[in-house]
Amino acid sequence: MEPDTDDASAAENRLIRPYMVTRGRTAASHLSVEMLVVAKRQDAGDLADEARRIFNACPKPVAIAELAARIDLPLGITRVLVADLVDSNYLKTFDTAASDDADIVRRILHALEK
Amino acid sequence: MSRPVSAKFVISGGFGAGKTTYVTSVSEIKPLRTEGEMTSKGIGVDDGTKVPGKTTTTVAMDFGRLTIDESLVVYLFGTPGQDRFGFMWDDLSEGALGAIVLVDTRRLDECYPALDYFEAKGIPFVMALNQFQGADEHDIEEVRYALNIDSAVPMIHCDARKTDSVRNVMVRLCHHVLSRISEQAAESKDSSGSDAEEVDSDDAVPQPAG
Ligand SMILES: Nc1nc2c(ncn2[C@@H]2O[C@H](COP(=O)(O)OP(=O)(O)OP(=O)(O)O)[C@@H](O)[C@H]2O)c(=O)[nH]1
Ligand SMILES: [Mg+2]
Repeated sequence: MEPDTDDASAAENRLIRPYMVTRGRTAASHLSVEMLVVAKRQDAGDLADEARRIFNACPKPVAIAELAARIDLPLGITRVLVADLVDSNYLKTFDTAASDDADIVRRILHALEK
Repeated sequence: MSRPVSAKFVISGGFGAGKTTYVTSVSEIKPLRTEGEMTSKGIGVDDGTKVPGKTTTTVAMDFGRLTIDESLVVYLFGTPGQDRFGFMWDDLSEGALGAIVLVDTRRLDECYPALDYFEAKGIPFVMALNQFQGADEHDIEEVRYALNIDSAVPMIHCDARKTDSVRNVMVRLCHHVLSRISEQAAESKDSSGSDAEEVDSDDAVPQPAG
């Protein structure tokens, strides 16, 4: 989130702030919708509310969009919270395929033609 | 288990062209739905200042999943029809392997925004003609001519309700994506000049017998 000065943005930030726990390094906007995330530890510790729901929903790798849908949270909020949980070591992310990765496309083709 | 990787495709097309039906036919799970916010900030249009306060519109998008093997999972995202500004489209298309543009042959020109979009973003796509009941039979070449589509863009018939048909479209798309990748690799090799490393020089050397 960029620091903003105009009123409208301030209002927006007030809405988002309750969800921002640490304002960490992992920018939410870098988390693509298909990116897989998984819990890095066993228990949710003292995580509260939505953060806890997110953590509990990914014992196995799951895409961020799927996570959002399964726990019924808007995508934007899910992203911000996931970014936070990554920074605080609760979750880790996996790589997404590069769009020029021919090997990945061949694997998909192979599966489709079966 | 090796580290899992995910990839995605985008399903686009005009209003009611069959996007959700398509995703349903190819997905291994009942399609999921999530809400994305579309703020005026994200849209980046200049009339944002005229809006009193900040309006946030939510758009629902549906998507499905296809597990390829133990370490690769593919997601298929349908672009939300209401999002004319394309903010959500950017989100869905960034990093996509390829796209499908579904064409409702009764309303051919509704696919233009999607065509323009993927062309501008350089995302390889195929066009799938969704033949609705009561629509005239459309010859592929007729549609290609009417919409002025380059012959390099694959165009095929499809019935979004049928898994075989939809998988066939996906296969065509994968072939198209692969040829685009090798074209681009060849182009960048050409432009990198003669000092580029010899590729696979080992293979060129005949192996001594025995
Ligand atoms: N006959 C026929 N009907 C189809 C086909 N594909 C979709 N339909 C029907 O067309 C209607 C619209 O399909 P949807 O999949 O909801 O279309 P959509 O593109 O998701 O629509 P929006 O999200 O509202 O833009 C549904 O009633 C489908 O059953 C097809 O290939 N053939
Ligand atoms: Mg739909």
